[in-house]
Amino acid sequence: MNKFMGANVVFSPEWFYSIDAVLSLIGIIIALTLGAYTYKIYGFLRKKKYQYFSYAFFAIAVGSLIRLIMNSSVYFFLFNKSPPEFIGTIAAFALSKDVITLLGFFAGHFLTLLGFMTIFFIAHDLASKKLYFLLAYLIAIAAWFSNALFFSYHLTSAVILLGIFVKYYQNFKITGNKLVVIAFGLFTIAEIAFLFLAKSQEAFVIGEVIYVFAFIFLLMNFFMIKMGNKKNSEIKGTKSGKKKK
Amino acid sequence: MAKRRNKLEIIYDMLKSIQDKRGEIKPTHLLYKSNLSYKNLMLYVGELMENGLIEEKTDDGQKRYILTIKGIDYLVKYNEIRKFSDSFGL
Repeated sequence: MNKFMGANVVFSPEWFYSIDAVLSLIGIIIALTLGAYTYKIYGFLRKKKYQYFSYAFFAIAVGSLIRLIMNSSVYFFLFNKSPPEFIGTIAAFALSKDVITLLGFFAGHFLTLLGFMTIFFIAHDLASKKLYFLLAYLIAIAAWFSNALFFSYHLTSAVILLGIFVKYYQNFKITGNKLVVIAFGLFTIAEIAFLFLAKSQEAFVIGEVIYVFAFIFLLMNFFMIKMGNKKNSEIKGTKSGKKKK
Repeated sequence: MAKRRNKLEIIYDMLKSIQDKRGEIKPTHLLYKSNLSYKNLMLYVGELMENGLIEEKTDDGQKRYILTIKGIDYLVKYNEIRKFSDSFGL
């Protein structure tokens, strides 16, 4: 673990440098896809919980993107790499002042935690706004302290994700849907792996790989529903073919 | 006590009832299957026809409601949303 402009920075093994960026991008794209789809459902059903659920995925996507930008900026700077001009401009801005760097890391951590916390709230059917704002404040503190104590972000994430996993496990016993419960189980395991970052760089690789697999399971769930429904509609469409004009 | 259905759920139940009857249903059957009062049923039927989800046809003086392609699309979309919601416990 290294200190960089007031923030603690953890390095992955050198061979993993660009791979982790690609993995993060996959996660971001999946989170955006799920957010957009859930927002589309909100447009159809007009139920608030779908709106909040979509915002949760957008927050995770934006938080992950900010973390990717901040980590890449530090990487370009410390290893004297020259990125493409556009990325270089962003990286230069991200590191232009201590306060921007610290706020960048904070925003990335806070938004990701806020997204998972919102999913926790919806999954557990909690409706108290007071509790939501209290927890948002607490995760803001956890996110801020993660600048000094890297551990605090991953521990908070692990606890929230474990809470979601438990709820989805109960849901799995009713619906039989394995993919979502596996995804949140993997997210939790990934965050637990990240807790060992200070001890070993391999923990970062293991955590990142498990993390992206968690997103892939969420995407699989999405596609299984889409594909299953498409097949279903084709069968039903044929049955009702006589109704076609 | 049964959960109160919202408008979209009522529309789904009505269209599903027609689909289960191989795409066409008599008004009396629809009334029975959709669990609505006659007045409300007529309001919904009017809206469904206006939106092109069902059509009305008369054979030998017997009125029937027919599910259209748009109606099938609605059922497909609604089912997809239901499966997605169930998977996340929404």
